[in-house]
Amino acid sequence: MITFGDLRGWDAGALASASETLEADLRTLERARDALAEEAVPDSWAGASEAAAQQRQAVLVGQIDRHLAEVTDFERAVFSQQPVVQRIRDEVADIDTTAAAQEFSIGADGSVADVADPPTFESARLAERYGEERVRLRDALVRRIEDVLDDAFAVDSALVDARPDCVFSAEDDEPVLDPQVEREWSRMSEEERRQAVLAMVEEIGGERGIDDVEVRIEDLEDKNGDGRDDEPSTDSRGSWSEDDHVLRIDVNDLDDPDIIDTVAHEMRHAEQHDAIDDLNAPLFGQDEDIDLPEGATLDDVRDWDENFSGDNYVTSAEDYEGYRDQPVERDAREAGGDYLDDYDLEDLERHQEAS
Amino acid sequence: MTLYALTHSDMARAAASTADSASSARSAHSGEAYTALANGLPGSTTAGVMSSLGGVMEDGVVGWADDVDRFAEDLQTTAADGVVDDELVSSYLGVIGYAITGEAS
Repeated sequence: MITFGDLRGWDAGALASASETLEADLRTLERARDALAEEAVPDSWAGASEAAAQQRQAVLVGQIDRHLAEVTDFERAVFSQQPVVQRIRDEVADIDTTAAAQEFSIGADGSVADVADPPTFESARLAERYGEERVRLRDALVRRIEDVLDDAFAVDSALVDARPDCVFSAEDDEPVLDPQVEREWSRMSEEERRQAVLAMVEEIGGERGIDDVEVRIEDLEDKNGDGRDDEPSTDSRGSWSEDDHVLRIDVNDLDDPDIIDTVAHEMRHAEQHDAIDDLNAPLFGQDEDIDLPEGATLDDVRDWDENFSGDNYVTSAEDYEGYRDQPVERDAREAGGDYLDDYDLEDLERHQEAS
Repeated sequence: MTLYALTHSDMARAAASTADSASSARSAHSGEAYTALANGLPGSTTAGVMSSLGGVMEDGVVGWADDVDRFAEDLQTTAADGVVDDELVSSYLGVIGYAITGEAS
């Protein structure tokens, strides 16, 4: 996470440089796109081969257009944050100057220490007044440090949110936790985190039609209670039990905001089971009537049904790669990652208020 | 059989422009921008993300330029041989080899 010491090294000029480079890059790629779009298929060409060439041209132009759109949006975000970073940098310098003038030192972690030589006083009342004044000055510095860090996390959050997807890659990008969520989560007590998880589950359940979910936040690493990790080679962050509709979250991971991903991941398993139940309901009607989970196809549901049948499900203890590669886990991992990627401070504040 | 009216010079120009397009794309170097961001915002999540993103984005553009080059090569083959490359057609329409009529139209 960003510290006050980090902010001393923030450089608005780097954002200006990045913005200029991206701008130049966009112009270059636009020229490449225009040459391809306007000149690759001559007007004099006709027939089936021309149609085939046009299709090939359209695919390539479509790819570069999507890339240009992604990078254009990102460049605008970088450009718009440049003056904000400059203000942060100026404020950090001013805080340091003020602190030095008032004989305080500020550590890289943002802690403020009084480094003034203690004067002597003729009365206890004067000593007390001096002490109160020092506390007031210190607290004012602390507030300014907190405020400038708030601004810095907002910049970080905006840039992470605006980061471009690589449209040329078939692989999904790794989810990234919103920096503001990470910071807020670190400030919450264990009880507040528990309540936020409960609110999260209730909201997801309501949106996706998953009823009667019981949440248990317990020690999943030491289920037998002997004080030792049952399976040190695995990290059990959460689980979904279809039999009794219990979602378990490992209490040991509650301090890690990535647990938000785990909650959504396990709730996706609940959705998978619901869809499978629909698929196999004898009187349900036609396959088209199945309420498919977001992003899933009927074939996906059939794959999940097969995956959960008999002994087909592979546990992580049996074969970790096999566990990760099976259809139900791939799908849940994607759903959890997407949820985490979209989760921002507004979502967390809503879950804090609901709890 | 459909006859096509296409000059070799038209096709050669198209192939050259397409190759220029690939070459132009390769001259873009956005990686420096992502590196600058990573260096300019130490400690941030942005810095961590940008460190790897620059390479991914540049590789993506180079991969795209490779595809454009292959397209240009197919167009060039057409221009040189006067015959549309089988693969060029069949890969999209399942149509096999079309002859192009001679020189000028």
